[in-house]
Amino acid sequence: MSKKRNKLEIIRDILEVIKNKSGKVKPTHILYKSNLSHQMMELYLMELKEKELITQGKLGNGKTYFITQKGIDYLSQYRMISEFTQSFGLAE
Amino acid sequence: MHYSYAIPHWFFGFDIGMEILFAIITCLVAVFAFKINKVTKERKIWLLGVAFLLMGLSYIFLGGINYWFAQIASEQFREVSIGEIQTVGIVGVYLYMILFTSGLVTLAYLTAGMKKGKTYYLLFGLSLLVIASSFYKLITFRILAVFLLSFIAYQYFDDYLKNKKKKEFWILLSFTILFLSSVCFIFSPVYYPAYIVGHLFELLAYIIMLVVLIKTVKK
Repeated sequence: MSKKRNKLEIIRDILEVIKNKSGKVKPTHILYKSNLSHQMMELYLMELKEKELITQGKLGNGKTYFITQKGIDYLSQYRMISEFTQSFGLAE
Repeated sequence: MHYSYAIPHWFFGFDIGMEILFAIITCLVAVFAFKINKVTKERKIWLLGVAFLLMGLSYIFLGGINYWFAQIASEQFREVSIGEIQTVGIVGVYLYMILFTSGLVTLAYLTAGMKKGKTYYLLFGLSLLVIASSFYKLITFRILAVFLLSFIAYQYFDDYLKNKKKKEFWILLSFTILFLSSVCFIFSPVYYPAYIVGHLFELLAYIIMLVVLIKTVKK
């Protein structure tokens, strides 16, 4: 059985889903790939928008999410961020 | 307020150097936390940065006071009584106590997973009130620091038991040694080697923290 993901891991997974799809993706694809309930996914997307890691726009019909430069920075620094938060007991 | 340290003359200088080093290490942790917070915008990481910055500033003031003492010290052993210290000394010692206590309260609040601002206000207010209303302010501050550090170390111990991760163990060890150093400082007025041992414990604790930080940056 795989272990429960912490908050930082979930954020990384969502950002990776968007990045791997050329930086823009529909919410249904995030839902499918991130292994979250719809409600949880909405909460995370809202948080990521607030933190400016993603932006929301419209491409064709329906919502589309775009990864920002800050989001890309987060992914490249993820290991370091994860190590730091775990060492100082901040991982949720 | 009558509480004095018996500090051997030869140790003046070493303690200042160590305090500057503690200030550098704690400020480095703070800078790193703020840098990570810039990307993650996590309140917890920001609070960790604030806690270490407060501790770093407290060591800068402590180093400053001790440097000031070193300038006026002339005997082999100088009895430094807070009652005798005028303006600079009093302001410096009080700032050190307030900043260090604030840093520890912030860390205790953070490690216990408390989220309400009111709880922080209560903890912070009570801690400062205890020191302010005490006749023996410095010893009360030392006892409070022991209590807060024991709480923080216990929280890290609890985390370590849950996750059993090596990196968590080193920070647990670091805070446990900081706790021991604070215990030593309580006895320093009556047994001067405790002041030196306390500093050596602190040095060891912050070196461990620095190694953890360097390993994290290298990832």
